[in-house]
Amino acid sequence: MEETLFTLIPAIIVLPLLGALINTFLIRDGRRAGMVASLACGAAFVVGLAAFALLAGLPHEEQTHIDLTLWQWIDAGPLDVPFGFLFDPLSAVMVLLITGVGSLIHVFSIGYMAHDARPVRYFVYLNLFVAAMLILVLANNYLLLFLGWEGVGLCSYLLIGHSFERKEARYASMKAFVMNRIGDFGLMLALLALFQHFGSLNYGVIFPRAAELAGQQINWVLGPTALASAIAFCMLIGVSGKSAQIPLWTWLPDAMAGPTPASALIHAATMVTSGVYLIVRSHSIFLQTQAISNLTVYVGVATAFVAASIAIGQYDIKRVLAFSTVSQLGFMVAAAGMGAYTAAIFHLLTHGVFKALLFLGAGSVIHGAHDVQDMRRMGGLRSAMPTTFLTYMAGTLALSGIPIWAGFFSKDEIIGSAFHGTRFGTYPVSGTILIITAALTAFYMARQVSLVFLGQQRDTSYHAHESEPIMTIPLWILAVGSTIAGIINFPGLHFLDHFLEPVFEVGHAVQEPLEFNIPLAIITVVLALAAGWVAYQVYGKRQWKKTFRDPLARYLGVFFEGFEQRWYADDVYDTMVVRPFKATASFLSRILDPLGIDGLVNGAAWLVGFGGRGLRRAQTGYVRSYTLVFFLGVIAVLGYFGFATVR
Amino acid sequence: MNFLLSLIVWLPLLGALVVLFAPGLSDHTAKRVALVWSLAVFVLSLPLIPGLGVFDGARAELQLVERVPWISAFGVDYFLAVDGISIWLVLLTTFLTPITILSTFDAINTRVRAFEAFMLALQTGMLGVFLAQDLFLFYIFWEFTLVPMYFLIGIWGGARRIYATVKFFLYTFAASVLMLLAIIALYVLWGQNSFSLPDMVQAIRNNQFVLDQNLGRWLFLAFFAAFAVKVPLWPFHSWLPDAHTEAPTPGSVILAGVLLKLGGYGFIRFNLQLFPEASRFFAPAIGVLAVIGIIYGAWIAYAQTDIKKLVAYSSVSHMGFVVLGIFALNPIGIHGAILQMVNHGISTGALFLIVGMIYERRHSREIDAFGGLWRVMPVYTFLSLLIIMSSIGLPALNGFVGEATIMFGTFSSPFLGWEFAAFGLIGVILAAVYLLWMFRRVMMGDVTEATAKMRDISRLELSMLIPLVALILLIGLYPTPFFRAMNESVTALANGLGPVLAAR
Repeated sequence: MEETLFTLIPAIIVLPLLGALINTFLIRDGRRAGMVASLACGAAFVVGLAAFALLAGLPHEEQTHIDLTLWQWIDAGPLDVPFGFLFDPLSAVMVLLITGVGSLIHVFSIGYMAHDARPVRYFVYLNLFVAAMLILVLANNYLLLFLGWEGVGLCSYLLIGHSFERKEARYASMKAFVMNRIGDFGLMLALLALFQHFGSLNYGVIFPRAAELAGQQINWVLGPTALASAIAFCMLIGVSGKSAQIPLWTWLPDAMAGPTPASALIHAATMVTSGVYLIVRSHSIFLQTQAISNLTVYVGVATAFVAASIAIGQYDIKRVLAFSTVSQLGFMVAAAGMGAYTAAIFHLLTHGVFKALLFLGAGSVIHGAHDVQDMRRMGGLRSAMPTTFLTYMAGTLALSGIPIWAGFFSKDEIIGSAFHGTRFGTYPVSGTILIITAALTAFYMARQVSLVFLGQQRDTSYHAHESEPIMTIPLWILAVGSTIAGIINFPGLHFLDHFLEPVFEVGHAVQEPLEFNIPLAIITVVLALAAGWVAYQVYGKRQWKKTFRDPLARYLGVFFEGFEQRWYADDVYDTMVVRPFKATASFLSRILDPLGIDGLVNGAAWLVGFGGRGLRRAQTGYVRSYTLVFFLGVIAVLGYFGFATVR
Repeated sequence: MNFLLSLIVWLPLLGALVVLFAPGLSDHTAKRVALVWSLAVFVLSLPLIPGLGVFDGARAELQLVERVPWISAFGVDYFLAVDGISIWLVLLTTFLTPITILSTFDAINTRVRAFEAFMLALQTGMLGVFLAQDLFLFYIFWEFTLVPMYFLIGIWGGARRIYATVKFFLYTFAASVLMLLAIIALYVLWGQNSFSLPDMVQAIRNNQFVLDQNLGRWLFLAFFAAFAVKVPLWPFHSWLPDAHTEAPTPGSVILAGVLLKLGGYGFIRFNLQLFPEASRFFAPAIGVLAVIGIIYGAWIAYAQTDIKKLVAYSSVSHMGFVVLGIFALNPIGIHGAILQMVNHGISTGALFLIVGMIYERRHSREIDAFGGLWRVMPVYTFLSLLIIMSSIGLPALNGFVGEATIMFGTFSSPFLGWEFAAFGLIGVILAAVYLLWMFRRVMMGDVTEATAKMRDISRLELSMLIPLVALILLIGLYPTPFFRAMNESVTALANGLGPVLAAR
């Protein structure tokens, strides 16, 4: 059985890679490229499913030992890194999410990209992304994870910049890559430190020995620090970049300049969750450091709350979802920080399904409304797009945490963990903020549904139409998924808890499955329903003009302005980082280098050789004779020494 | 085949004479003769590939040794040999030269025969530097490389070519005179009437040749000066942007591709082997310079408006990594540094080629003169993106393997440590900033009237880039054979630096 797995696992990655190659070199037609890409991703899903079934059939303790090395990647003396994969329950569920949701998004894209100028390229990027993301979750060592980590960053860059004629796409793509790179800086430092201590980057070496980190300290500017904290902190920088957490979160909303299905796959369902995956994968390291685990919780909670508040003040249909993604990622990061690893992965999975649904739904709306993205120009689309509306509602209910939809179970498990406590203790304040954030979530989603689908169409300059079946069928499938996905870790059954248990046994991080907290559930549901009802009263009941200003602006004043302007984060970064960087570059390039360093060089040359004669004359030919004299002089010296020695 | 190395070294010079003096050779034919000639040298060098024939990557010592007395009065030998430290640099040189000559097909139209002759002569000089094991012979080859380069820039260069080439010549020459003095001093102090480097190193390791600590440090600095200027290490870099800006495309390719590596190679072969104590003493200070260079070069690159100058400053930054890896003084760092020299030769050589290609079409290298190339030149842009990503250090491509290995070496080095790695990594962030900024403005955006008519890559241009791109991917995904062939020699060298260092 293990041998079969060993052949299946590389196939999961090779299939989408093959799709990308075929499309690059052989296919010129957009629709056909879409078919090839979808087929490649779909095949990867089927293979992934087979591998998953085989893994589930293995005895418990063998499930973490499916480890194969394809070849020796780097072998530089003591630095020894395999190109190898680990297929354990954690990577298995990630593989299913990536290829499953990925396949649906590929199919949806065939319809969505039909009128695009460069559809073949788009599908190449999409396949390449799936391959890189699979490497990220299947790697058996940190350096190969890093390959996938930056690989998905490249694909994200390419997809955001897909319509590079548009200025915002150009700028957003570069911003995404650079901010991710800043995060990668942290991750790379963590890798260096891990290698320094363990002499290896393989999970199989590091995790069983992670407890060694506990007593170690490093000395640096701010005094002695626990080594585990330093490493976890550096990883947290990486998480902040990839998963768009404070402070490196501002690239994700801009990334919406990419094609909408790409946003669904990369900037909602999969890539941005790799930060959460990293923490969960590295749980044995995070468990050694209460301080950084706490910090992780605070970062996640703060991001969740701030992003949700911003989502309230947006008019662009995709931006609302983008900030919602940032906010939900905050939930996951907070859960991972608390040590509620299964809860984090649970929410990662359900969110992957329902946020992909919402993004694809938004894509369907944009497609049907002829590229209108401003919600103020929409309204009443329910009648023109009944299928999109219905499926969108499933996603909305799931995201808002309404029972029986998937988000209710996964979000409640995070909030429950905060109050119930983990090995790090309880987080009542964080939990309370998360409850409030959940209510805000219901509010902005109800606002969005009201503005887009309810009432009358405010801007009648376009005729909205329902999307074709190739787009609506994926919506239906995801809608069903969003409705029932809670089953994978249903309270009392705990499928996911049990399935992931072997992973956490390695780091001794197994938690008792959390029991359902009924009072807590009642509170969150009542708050969510109330928030949704208020939003419906405010936005869904009245007929607005197409240039209306949000009524909340009148009541909230500067706060609403803060929501609208994303709390000025971009402006702060621009003033504090970007502009000083540019000014310094200009100073170095115009003043210091030519006048300072080169000035010294030319000055020295002038002093030595051309004193009085001036550089200009020297440049016109004297230098040749000068160097000749110089050369002869050297030979004379040489001759003297040689002669002296021989004698 | 005990004359294989001599054949590889001297054949190009013979080719230079043929191209220069063969009667009735048209420019058209001269280019082709030079190309075929350099390809022949490349084919001859193929048996050197570890595992394919004459070179055994599992041995630490010098191989294919050719040693005959030359000037017996001074104990100068004609002494060529290769080991794991130089093998890839030799192959890099024989591999890049035909590609460079291919690039003259479009770029050079005046005094073609002389140009090709200088290119081939330069190859002899560069190979000689990598292969010479006699200090005197090494010095001759070292200075010999200056002459063809001086004329390549001085005759075929841009508007300020004279200034640039004189600066290049004087700067590097002045620094190498210091090295010459140090060579003479070593010769005199050793008193064995020999310039043989391996023998001298052996004597130093056996304590038969003991240098006074202070004197050793001074001599270290004299060698250091020559190599630091060549690399170039900050703050000795200011000749490089000028030389690159003025040099014709093939000149820039070979300058960045191979000539800068002479400096890095020199550090490893001479400074580290001859002066272990001084190497340990100066390592942190040189590490500081390297880190400053990494960040400084990248920062300045961002402010350039001339694409070629941007790439030139990126070289300052990237070569900083090489120096950092070398002065980590441990096997990992030196492994990474050697591979990164090869990587930089491939990636930056390719960068200069792609800059040259759009220069040929547009006769401008100003970033603002371009835009929207991704639409009109899709194949060209695809390859450019790959090369740029290799220079940015994207994993799965060659640049990452080298830089990451250097970073691991730096972090675990007892002389450098995590601070050096952290600051070095800032350069990795900045590489993405300046290169993607350039990509955004040149390749992205809307097509302008001027760029609309630019045709996509030609077959000739494709044939230059394909081998480079293939290596970018190969080294990125499977660098192990490259590392294995140098492993023994590098480990032996690190052992010579002190017992502490060999452990890590």
